[in-house]
Amino acid sequence: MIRFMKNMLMRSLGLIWVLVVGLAAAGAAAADTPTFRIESIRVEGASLASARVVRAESLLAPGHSYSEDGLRLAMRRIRRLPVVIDVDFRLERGSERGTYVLVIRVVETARFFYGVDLLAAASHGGWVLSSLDLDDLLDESSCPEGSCDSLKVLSTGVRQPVGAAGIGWAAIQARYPTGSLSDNPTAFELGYTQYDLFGTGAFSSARLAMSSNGQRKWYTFEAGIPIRGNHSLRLLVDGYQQNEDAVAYLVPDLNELGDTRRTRRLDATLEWRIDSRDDPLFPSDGHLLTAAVHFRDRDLPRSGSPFDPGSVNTSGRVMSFELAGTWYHPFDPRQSIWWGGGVSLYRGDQTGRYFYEGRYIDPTELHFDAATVRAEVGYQRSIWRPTGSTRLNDLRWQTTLSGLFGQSWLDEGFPDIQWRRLDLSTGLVLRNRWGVARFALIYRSRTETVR
Amino acid sequence: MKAAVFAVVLMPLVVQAAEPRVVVDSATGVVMVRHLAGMLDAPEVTRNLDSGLTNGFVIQASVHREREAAARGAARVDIRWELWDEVYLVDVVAFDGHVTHLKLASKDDLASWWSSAAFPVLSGRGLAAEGSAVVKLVVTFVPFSQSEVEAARRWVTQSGEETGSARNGPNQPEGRSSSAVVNLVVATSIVRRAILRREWTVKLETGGGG
Repeated sequence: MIRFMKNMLMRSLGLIWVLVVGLAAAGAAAADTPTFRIESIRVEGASLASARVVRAESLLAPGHSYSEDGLRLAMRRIRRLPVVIDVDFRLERGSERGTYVLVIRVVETARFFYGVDLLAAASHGGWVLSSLDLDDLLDESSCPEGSCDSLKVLSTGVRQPVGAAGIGWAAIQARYPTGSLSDNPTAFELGYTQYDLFGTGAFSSARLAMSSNGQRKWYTFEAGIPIRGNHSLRLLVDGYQQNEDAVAYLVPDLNELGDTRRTRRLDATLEWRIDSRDDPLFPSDGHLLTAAVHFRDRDLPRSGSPFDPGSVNTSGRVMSFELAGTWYHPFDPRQSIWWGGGVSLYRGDQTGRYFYEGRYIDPTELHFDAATVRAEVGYQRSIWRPTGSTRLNDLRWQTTLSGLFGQSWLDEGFPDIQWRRLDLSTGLVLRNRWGVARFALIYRSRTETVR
Repeated sequence: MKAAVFAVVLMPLVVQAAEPRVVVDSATGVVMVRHLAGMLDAPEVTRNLDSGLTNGFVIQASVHREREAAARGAARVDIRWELWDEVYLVDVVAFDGHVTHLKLASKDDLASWWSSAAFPVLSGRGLAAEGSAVVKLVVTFVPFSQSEVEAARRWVTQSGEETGSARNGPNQPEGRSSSAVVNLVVATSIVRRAILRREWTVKLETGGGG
């Protein structure tokens, strides 16, 4: 016992010594680095995002001094603006000796944009969670990207600067399959983002979309507040509503004629985020760490077939807490890897009518707790040789392998469920000034164990 | 017509003359890269060099004998135009972590120094004595936006300490500190996206000091 304590003490002292020496070395190195007192900031090349938006996103302020690493992190923040694809800094002399004018040159996306998502997906396994309508509440749909076979999403639109710090956009989107038997695949979208709210560098964004026959509606609100450096606080509210007439189904007499099947989803997330990634779409360096509280509210028709004689809605609510992190590492100019993982804890309840072990169960309320642990590794390779000062055309091959282990604990009378999931995704992603196109093959395997 | 003859006949000779040389110093056993002319005036470099921020060149060399890699090493050159003092501040970080600080008063001085400087890229003791070898030389320009100078400075601090202890220890294998340094160069610079890259394959020469 004494030997054990002695070993622990020696190890602790060793660790403290390493930390002290490391900090001293870092301090000595930092003392050597140049800093620049910024007198003013000038922005060049900004037309969609105004100079004010770029300045606000940089979080740099005239009158302050910054190291080169501080400036480089500001570059990364600007690069994460959705209308910026590249950014460069240079210094000019200020009016007094030792002061500098920081010139920020941005390369923006085009005003007209497109988006293409062509996904071929395959999956197998999983049944109990979905039969109890828990998969949606636990964000564990057995079909990747919401589609069990393939998904084609095409969108195009236009962005327009509004005022000194706003950007609005309008788009039209076609999606196959629609996720509904009766719906129209075309949807229209309007959105607006206001940057630099109250001069603080915060932003808020709102989006509203509707299918062409009015059956489906999406609404999103997002707000972000910079805290310090790469730390920020984000609020995201995401809603979806779908109304369908039951008569639209092929065998209407199995439903109540004229009955409306209503789907309603609401997700709210409050997230603390530390983001030092060098690129929002193709990160090869930096990390993204998040701590988030989610609230999810669902009101769904039975997830079984439309011929289900008991078209009783399931409604449920869940609160969850998630810690997650992803780290990106380049290992040559064309290739990078990433790895990460997360832990989520859920607590929720739902009311509904469930089909389990060959019979329908009519509980008034079902309480559940759940926990998931997930891990992910990925690899990215640039197909085109990465030379040239700007990143106007980028084609990458991305492959991701992720695994998840989950456990749910339900009320008495219901089984506890364990599930394991393995996802493999590989494909090409093209980015240029006009948009992003993604072609991917996705395979998901999920096994469930009832206890 | 004369111009065409010059272009066809003489230009290859000019290009040949512009090739860098890689020389093992017979006194110290250090492999030096010399005559790296022709990179400072590339548009990708000139556009960034006067930005007032630090840009870097990474010089990587791998020595091959009978098609097998015998040794490899690297050096890094950081250049920053100091706007108020109107000087180029240059840090040459050798393969062993040794840093040389220079101040050059003009672009002409910088170009002149660049074309005549000898960059120590690896310890090649014994390489020259073992017969003919070729060196694959890769020089990349990493702009401010892609480089991580502070990480490189920390690397220099740490590798300098490590090299010092290696120098003090008589039984320390000579290649160890340099490989640690090279690995750290790889970790900080070589993985960054370069906007200019030049490659040569040249003979390894033996020469005197200086």
